[in-house]
Amino acid sequence: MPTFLDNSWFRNIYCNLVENDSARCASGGWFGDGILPNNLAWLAYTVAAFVICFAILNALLGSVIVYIWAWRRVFARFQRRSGPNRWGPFGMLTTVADAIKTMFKEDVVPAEADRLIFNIAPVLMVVPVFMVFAVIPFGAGTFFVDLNVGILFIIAVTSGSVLAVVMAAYGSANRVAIFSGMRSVALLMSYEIPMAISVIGAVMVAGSLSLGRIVEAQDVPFIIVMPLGFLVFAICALAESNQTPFDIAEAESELGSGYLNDYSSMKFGMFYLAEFAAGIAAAAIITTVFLSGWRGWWPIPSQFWFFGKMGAVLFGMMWIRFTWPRLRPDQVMGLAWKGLFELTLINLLSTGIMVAVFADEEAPGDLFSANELWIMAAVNWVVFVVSIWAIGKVLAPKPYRAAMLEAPVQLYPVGVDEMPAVKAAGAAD
Amino acid sequence: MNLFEVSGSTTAAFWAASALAIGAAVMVVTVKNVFRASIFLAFSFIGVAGLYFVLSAEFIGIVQILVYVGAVSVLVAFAVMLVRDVSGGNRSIGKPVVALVIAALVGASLIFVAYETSWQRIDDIANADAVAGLAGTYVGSDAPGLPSGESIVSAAGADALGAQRGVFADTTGVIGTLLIKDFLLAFEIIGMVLTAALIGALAIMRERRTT
Repeated sequence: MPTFLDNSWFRNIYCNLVENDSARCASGGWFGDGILPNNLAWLAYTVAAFVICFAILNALLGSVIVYIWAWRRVFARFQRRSGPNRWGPFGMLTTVADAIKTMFKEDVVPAEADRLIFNIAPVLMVVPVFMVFAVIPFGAGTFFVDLNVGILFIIAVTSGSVLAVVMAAYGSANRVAIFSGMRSVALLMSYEIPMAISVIGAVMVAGSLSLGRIVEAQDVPFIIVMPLGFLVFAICALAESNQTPFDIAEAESELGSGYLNDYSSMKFGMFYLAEFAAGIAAAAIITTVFLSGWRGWWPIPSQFWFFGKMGAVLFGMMWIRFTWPRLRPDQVMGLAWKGLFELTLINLLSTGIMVAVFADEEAPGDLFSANELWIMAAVNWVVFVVSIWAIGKVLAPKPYRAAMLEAPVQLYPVGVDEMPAVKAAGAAD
Repeated sequence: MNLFEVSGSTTAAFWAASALAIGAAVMVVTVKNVFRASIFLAFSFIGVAGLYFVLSAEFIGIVQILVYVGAVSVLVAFAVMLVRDVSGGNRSIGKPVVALVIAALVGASLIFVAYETSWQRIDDIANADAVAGLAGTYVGSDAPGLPSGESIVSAAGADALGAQRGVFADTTGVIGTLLIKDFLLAFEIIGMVLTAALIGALAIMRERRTT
């Protein structure tokens, strides 16, 4: 049972500060051989926490800069134009210039705004996204913390961004912002439910909520074992990170930019940062839970496998984003409640039955072997095809009734209060 | 388990979480703007979740954040937006004596429950584990409500880091087992009640046909 501090970067930093010997630090009390004197365990704890925060923060900020550049270049290729190409090789410094420009812009706060709420909201928007990276294993032994409730931690923490959206919407004292905030809250809350349930399949097969254990369980990647779970999770992750088919909250053509309307300068930059970092976080979670995380074949180091898979997922997300139109709010809600929710329940049922069938009574903690996973995959693919076909049938738009189209056009008689009843075509007189 | 016997970092975390929970709760009742009060309520929930983490009940702490911060406080904030005078809406009801009596009764009952609860058993588990220093040998068969033969005690009892973290490990599994084995009926009844409440809310909110 891996405990809170076992074998992570956090614990290594902590133990070096306290004791200089990880093995002894794990086995006994603290007898200040390390950098810090005795009885300063809490200081070591704090220092380790700060080092970890510093590492996460800067790595993520750097990768967001790179991601935005890649995003713009790929977007340009999709639209057959060249994209940013002036600053630096292949326009790589454009995002850096953009970031500097954003920082030096004038910071405007609307006169009617609730200043406290208005100013805190961007910060609260960024915090949950960054916290996700604390539990993700980036490679073999390359992780900060392996919480034994890891995946639940991610779902709980990301739900905090709903509050930030409400605060931004209310704080800017703007009707359009309130509309967009309400849309956003409805979307985030609806997609959280299928998202959480689709993860349960992976959790059942792995027998643990810890992300390290989920990676360990994937002798066959879970995208093959439970395609339905992957599909639902990927769609929900797109929706939660506010990507285009689901960006009803920003919706430039209807709401301006929604709750971002009144934000300027670095406060807007924070929202922008949170959106792109959320995309990266979603890709990292999908990689870990469904694409067997850092696992790969021998000569290439595990970290490269992780970031390679993550890049592939990000490219797929960009592809969807650049080629799909925005859905209407009612279509978005309908998809979550009428389509994805049922699909996750079907996935949960089929996977749960097979977990119960294959579970070994004598060794409850054991992982499933590759053969058992392949059998599960075979059954789940049949379930996948059948249920997608059935849900597609149910959700497909109804064809127009022929009677409506063929109804004879009748003029509205002048001086008559009532519209004469329209006869259906073919109806007997 | 005496709080002050465990390490300094746990104590520091306890005081920080308590300060957040109580400070935010005080702000909820003192601040004038109702919307701000609802946001402070969310921070108070986060502080309570922190207390659960200090007590090594990760599952409860996570669910506290998921349900209360992610959902309940947002609903509260939306309900507050329906109030006409948001910035000055948190008025006193003008009956300080009644409020004082009710608050005193609630406080007294909480203190009474705290005194009546047998904390000894939790202490025993901690001591047995620390003294024996064995891996999960404590069998919860004498603890009512726990499935016999299931170990609820940390496998790393002698582990200093484990001890600093608290007594119980893997509360998630134990809670899950209890919910779908021992308390299945109660669990299902709660599910039925919530479904009925949801359908009732829909029935009330449904648009009536005017004809």
